[in-house]
Amino acid sequence: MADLIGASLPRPDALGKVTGAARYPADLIQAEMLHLHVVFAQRVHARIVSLDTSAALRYPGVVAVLTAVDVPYNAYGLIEDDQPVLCHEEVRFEGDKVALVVAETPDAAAEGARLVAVEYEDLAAITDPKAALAPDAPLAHSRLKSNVLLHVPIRKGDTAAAFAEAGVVIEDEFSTSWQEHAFLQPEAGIAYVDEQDRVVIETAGQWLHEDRRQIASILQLPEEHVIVRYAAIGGAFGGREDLSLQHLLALAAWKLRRPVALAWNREESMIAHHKRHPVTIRCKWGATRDGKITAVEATVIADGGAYASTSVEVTKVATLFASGCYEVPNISVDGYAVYTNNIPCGAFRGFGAPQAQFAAEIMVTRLAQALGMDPIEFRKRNIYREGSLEPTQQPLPDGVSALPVLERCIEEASKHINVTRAETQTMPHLRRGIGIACGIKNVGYSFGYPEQATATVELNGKAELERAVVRLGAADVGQGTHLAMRQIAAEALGLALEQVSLIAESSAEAPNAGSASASRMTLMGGRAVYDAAIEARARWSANEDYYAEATVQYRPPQTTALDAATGAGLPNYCYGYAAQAIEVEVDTRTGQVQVLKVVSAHDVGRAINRQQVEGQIEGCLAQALGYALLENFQVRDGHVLTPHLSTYLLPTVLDMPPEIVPVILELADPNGPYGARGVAEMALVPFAAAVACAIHDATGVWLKQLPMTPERVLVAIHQAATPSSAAQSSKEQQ
Amino acid sequence: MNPFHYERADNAAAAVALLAQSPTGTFLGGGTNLVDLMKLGVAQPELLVDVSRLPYDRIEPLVDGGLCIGAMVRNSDLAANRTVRTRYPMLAQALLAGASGQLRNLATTGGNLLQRTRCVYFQDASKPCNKRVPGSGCPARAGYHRNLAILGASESCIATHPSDMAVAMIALDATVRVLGPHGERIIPLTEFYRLPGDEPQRETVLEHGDLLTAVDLPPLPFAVHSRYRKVRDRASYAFALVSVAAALDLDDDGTIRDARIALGGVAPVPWRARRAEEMLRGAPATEATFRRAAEAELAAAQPLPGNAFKLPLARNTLVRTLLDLTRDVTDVTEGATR
Ligand SMILES: Cc1cc2nc3c(=O)[nH]c(=O)nc-3n(C[C@H](O)[C@H](O)[C@H](O)COP(=O)(O)OP(=O)(O)OC[C@H]3O[C@@H](n4cnc5c(N)ncnc54)[C@H](O)[C@@H]3O)c2cc1C
Ligand code: SF4
Repeated sequence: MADLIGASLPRPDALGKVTGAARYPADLIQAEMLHLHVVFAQRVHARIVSLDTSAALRYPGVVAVLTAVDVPYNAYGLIEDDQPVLCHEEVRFEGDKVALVVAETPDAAAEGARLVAVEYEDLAAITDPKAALAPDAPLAHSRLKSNVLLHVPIRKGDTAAAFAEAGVVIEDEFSTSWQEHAFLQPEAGIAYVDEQDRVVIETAGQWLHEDRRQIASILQLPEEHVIVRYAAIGGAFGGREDLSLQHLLALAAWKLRRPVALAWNREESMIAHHKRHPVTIRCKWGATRDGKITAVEATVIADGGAYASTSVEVTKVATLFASGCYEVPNISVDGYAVYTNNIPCGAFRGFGAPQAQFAAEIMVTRLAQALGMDPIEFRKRNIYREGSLEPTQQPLPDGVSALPVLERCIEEASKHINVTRAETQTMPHLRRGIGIACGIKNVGYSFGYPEQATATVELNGKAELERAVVRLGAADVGQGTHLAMRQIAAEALGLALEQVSLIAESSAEAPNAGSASASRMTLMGGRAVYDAAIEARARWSANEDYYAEATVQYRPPQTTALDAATGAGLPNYCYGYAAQAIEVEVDTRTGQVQVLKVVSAHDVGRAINRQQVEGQIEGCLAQALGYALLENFQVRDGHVLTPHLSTYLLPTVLDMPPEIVPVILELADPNGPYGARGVAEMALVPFAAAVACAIHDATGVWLKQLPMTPERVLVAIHQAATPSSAAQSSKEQQ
Repeated sequence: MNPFHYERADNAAAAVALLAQSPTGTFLGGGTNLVDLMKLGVAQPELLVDVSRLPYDRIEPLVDGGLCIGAMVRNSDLAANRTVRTRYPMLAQALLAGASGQLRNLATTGGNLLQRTRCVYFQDASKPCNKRVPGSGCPARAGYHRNLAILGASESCIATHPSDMAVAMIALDATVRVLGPHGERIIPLTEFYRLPGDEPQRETVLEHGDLLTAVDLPPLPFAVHSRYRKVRDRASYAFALVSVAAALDLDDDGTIRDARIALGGVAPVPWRARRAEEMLRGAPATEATFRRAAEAELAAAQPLPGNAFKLPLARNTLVRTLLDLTRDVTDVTEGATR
């Protein structure tokens, strides 16, 4: 069976998903269930003066209205319990929840929700993250002393001395915007109490056991009294990492002891779940005349919005990658995660890395240009190699492939794109340009966060091994992990794929594999499955029971927290490396940018299923293209103004580059199963910077703000044509 | 969504009579705009009179050589019509540049002309908006107005009219047939839409109960050389940031005999560019002329910080479209002489 690893096996779930047979959470809703409707605050920051549910309760069909007093432990969060399930005294963003109406029909629930009378007293709101850092700024949470959720410093070497000696120093500021996950299937689910008095929630998510932990804590129940089950999951991208409505379902089912259902429409989904962090990066880079980057200073400010979510971790990642994938001897970076009364931000494919490397990769290109060097050559001189020291002063984990990935990218790109000079122009106002960028992103949890995956493998047969059942609580969010896990088990056991089944959908039936996030499941879940399969196989051989089983917990090399003063430490156990070459066409009369070609190179360690790896790269590029050029989430004074897919524009197939070339390198990771490491987030990391570099190549102007909309391109072109304003746009000293 | 009554009218007169009895009622065409607004709580009619199946679904020649388009003709059928494609290409192009295939299959000609603005504050019933709630204020001016007007706006409203089709029709000097409680009348499209002034809630000259039954296009032979160009954020399924509908009539020596131009995405109404047309008549078809015409048309623009980019965008797009048209016309004439 040695041909299972790397084979482009078709996904067993694919047919059902395209024919409509697959059952997503909203398909589980049944006639006799009660329906929930959330009363959202719609206030940016306010004190709840009074909350009157009597009119709602009188409405025909309304069964109950739950409020803060009904919640056993009214605080939750992935990292910090700072978010109320239902607000008690204060609301801190528009999408805060104040009440939950339960009714016989969806209409009655909605009508009941309208009848819940809440009297508010508006409080001073803070919606600008920079202003939030001022000592006298209004507080996003009245009970806190400061809006600073995290300040993380990273210090290495002596930047002042390095800048003094540098041959070229460039300083600039970049800003990125919110991004909405826009998974196809908005949040939905059902919940009920089973015959053993356990509350069962059937929904979609990214981590069964963490959802269970948080729900058990909210309901103050032992974890075994809560069962979380995932139906088919219609995309996640980090957007299902935080609880959205799972805990509301659990609360209502537990309180009323009746089956309940809730399905959000797109607008509810858009205002209620977290987004990608908008980040501003002020940075200064220095290099020697012979092309060595010697110093990076940066201030990274991430708008965390009203609740902590994963802001602390995202901001650490952004801070760590402020110097990109380059070995820089002198670094001084300060990262801040800030509370505001904007929509909360949290996990989103890339997790801080795309924001940081939008700035870093542009700065690297500009340094090269200032030195009169080829940006590829300049990158090669500075890029991470085996043994390079990270900003945190420790060597990178083994398997550093940044350089071979870049080299392979350039090699492949030269077959598809004329990398040295853009193709001849078709029309004078249509200009073509090429951009190159690299990227790095951790695989798995960072900074000492407990990291593990546990799998059980059960073997059955007679004289010969016949069947294997793998148990692993891993969410298939659409990335195809369930098939990959079976491929790994089958290969390790020498079985055909059909002989291996997987149980993964229920927290009660499968052990904790950790989240489907951080590009980690193939490495972590896959390694646990592999180890358990090998162990079970050994036990099978050693007994005559026609049955053997093994449960193995895999723990990767330990990471550590960052030192509070210097950031020193071992941040990660594995990285993914990416490089992209991109060709764009810019219409200088309209500012529109069309991406024509993308060569996207990735070291995946080992492609377990090649087709799925390519699918991850291509799908990720669609999200990256939206992030770079199109997706323009508007929040003004805390109000989301683009809660519809007609106002928040996602790329269509016509916006995608006609040519995408996924390039897969297989340089084994020391820990991954068959050498596999993650890939799911990687194409998003360099993309925006590569597009910015290509726009610069085409037009001579730099864009420093995402998304790079037509007006931003037009303004930049216009400013460049007007010498006085061009001079002030950035400082370059030589 | 508020509860409402639904009626399907058997004939136009009955539809008009039904609606006359219901002050907050409204006609339902394809519903692609109205039903969205009802879901958002922006429109709250107590009665819907479905007119989409009334027998105004034909596209027929007029005695003067023009074309009569029934108000219930679906956008997709209109775009696919042979006469429209060959004699009024800009209209077919405008339709195909709008919305998506599914939406065009439902959307009607009448409904398209009367679709409401995409201003985000208008669409959000929790926000003030002079158009939705007269006198409540216009948060767009100081807020998010990237897609709003640079021409023809007022202190009270800076919304844009979102239709692509209407831009082409207004350039073509279309007229609208209306059946109202007091009989039938014909209104030139250029007089159909109202600028907001201090009554942004009144978008057209229609009165309550007026039913659109048809749009007439005049013959306008030179419209065979016409184009619709739309600039938008993504390649399909997005409203115009700026659009241009233009037709050019050139002499053999390259002098402009006549022109029809309208702009979309820049004003509260589909914007007929009469000043630009005047500048073009009798002038040579050169880039310099086009540029002067565009500047003249846009001289009155009052851009705001968030939509100032529309000024160069509209200018560049208009010039580009006229240049392309000149090339089309010249190619055809050269082809004929060869
Ligand atoms: C996501 C999305 C994207 C879109 N993109 C574009 C785009 O790019 N370009 C574009 O031009 N349009 C676009 N549209 C708008 C679309 O073209 C309009 O919704 C459609 O043309 C409206 O036609 P309808 O028949 O569905 O009108 P309805 O929604 O039925 O009605 C609209 C209005 O017209 C009134 N009405 C309808 N028929 C008559 C009649 N015969 N007499 C009097 N009043 C009548 C109704 O009372 C209502 O007030 C988009 C729409 C959506 C939802
Ligand atoms: S621009 Fe017009 S539609 Fe938009 S908020 Fe102002 S008044 Fe309302």
